[in-house]
Amino acid sequence: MKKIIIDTDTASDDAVALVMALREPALQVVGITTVMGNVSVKKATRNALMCVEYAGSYQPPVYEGMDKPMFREHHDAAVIHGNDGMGDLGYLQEPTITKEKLHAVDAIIKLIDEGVGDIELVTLGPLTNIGMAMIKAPEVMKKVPCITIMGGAAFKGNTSPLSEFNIWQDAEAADIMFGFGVPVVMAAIEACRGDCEVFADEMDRLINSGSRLAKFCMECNRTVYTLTEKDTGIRSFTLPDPTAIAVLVKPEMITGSFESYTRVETKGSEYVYGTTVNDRRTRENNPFRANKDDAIGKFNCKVVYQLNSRAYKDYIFSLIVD
Amino acid sequence: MKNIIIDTDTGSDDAVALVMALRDPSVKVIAVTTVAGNVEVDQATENALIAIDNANSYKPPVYKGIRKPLVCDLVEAAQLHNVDEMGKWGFGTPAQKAENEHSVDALIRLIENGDGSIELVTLGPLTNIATAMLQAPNVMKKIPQITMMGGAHFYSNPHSVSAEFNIMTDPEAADVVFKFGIPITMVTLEACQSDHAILNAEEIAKFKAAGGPAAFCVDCNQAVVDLSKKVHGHEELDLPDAAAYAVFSNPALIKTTFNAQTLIELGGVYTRGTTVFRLRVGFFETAKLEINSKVVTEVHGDAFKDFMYNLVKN
Repeated sequence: MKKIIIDTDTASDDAVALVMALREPALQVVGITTVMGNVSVKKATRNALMCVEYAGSYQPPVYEGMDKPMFREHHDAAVIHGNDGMGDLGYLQEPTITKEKLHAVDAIIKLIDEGVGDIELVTLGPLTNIGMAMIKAPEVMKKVPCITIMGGAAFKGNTSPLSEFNIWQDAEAADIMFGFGVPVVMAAIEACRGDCEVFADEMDRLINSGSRLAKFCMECNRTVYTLTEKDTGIRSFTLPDPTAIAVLVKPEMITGSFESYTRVETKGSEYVYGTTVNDRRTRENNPFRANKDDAIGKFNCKVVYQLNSRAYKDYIFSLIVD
Repeated sequence: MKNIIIDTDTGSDDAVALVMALRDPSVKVIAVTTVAGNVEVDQATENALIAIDNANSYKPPVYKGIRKPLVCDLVEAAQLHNVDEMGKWGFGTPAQKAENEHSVDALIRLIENGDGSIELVTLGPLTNIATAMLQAPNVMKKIPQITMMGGAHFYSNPHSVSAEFNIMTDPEAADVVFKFGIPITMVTLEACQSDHAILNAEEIAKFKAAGGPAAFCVDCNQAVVDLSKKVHGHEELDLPDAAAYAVFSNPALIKTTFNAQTLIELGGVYTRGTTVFRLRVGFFETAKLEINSKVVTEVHGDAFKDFMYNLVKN
């Protein structure tokens, strides 16, 4: 049983990941922390509380966190996820449980400090809370054994030519995390694509399965799949955030990954801001630079860019049918 | 017959491109301008003269150019390859000398006196070209097309994570050229290494056996071949500038290409020198999309090697 804190900017795919984590027997979610990103932090908190109740499992504390990136303005993704982040369905049950008083950043520090070095972080949104915790309490945060993030691009971006949305939202916080010294497993934006997309027939089967939870998990993605249908004529949608859960609990479904020394570009033009720069060079495959560049080969990250799509979707579906 | 000016930092693959161009019946090289990059500009000038000598063809004038990038310091390829004498080929001193005129002045003069049909083929950093554009933009606007060896997608270059040598050696110059307005065909590093474009040991031996200019083409690359044996365990020879020249002369060799707005990153810590390929207006971007380049990412490798061999063999 792995203890984790989940940090989330709870919108549609975060919701599915949260529900999965809460119903996964191999995981114990000791706290949920919210951050702005897809939506404002207030909406992320409301959506997280909603997911905790819909999941029908145990109820970890929910802590609200940063409402804007460390240095920049917040740009939401309402166009992708809906104004409420959950498909603007109008019939979802508002949460009856409430958040804690403690700020998410302090909650992360407190939980890790009180822990015995066995609590991992799983992040589904921008890394603002994580960056702040590392700044405030570096000695405590060094106790974290591993951080699994949904974010970054292995090869090409989705928000700009080179960068993925979560990292782009707060590149400075992301670079603080990558440069900090705790190993990172990065479920990159590429991992959820292709056959990992949920297709219309699978979606309809789950919506009509009689499971309230499965219907919730599919329909909160309504804005996403409506957009895809408008764009491509096909009703389908990607589920990025669950790749972080899959990679954490079922690494055997990884079919494409590499080790790298990864940092994030925070300077320069808007076209490179937020790029995850994955240096895969080793002393063996790049003897030219071996003497000049000591950072070569000192990997800090495992970048996952491809999953077994059948295994991935079966895993999601197995956890969201109640 | 196309009139061209070749701008080169004459390392060993540049030399092959020069020999090809001088023996290409569809092309007249009206001048060669040298720039610092693979080697220092004095060495690049000497190497260009050596290549011209060994091409067994006509001898265009050679104009020495700018000795360091516009703004930053020069990091020659030899430093990247950790090879001391990459530029020294041991072919003796060429009889021909470089002209007295500066390459930038020669460029401006030739384009101004030309009929608007002279194209540029660039094989090194863009320092000369950018300087000419800054000094005489109205003249340089007469150039109809630039074909360059340069640029790459991320992770295509073992010497840097995010950039290709010609662009990263002088990003400010590249930025000037890509914003200037002349259509650019950019043959990327990955194109030059795609689809068997790299010569294997057997093919290297074939060039050697042909003697004359063909043998010169692989002989001047001996340091690169030796390095490949050390690193990969077998002999191979990739020739980026030769592939770029081949694409210029024979566009049917292009296998994969796309049109893009190519932006040169100047300020990034990890991404200075990156060629960013903008294909659409991104979600949070406000600037209009202005296509400025045709980006070639794959060539037909076997056809390229045949084309090269047929030009340089006796």
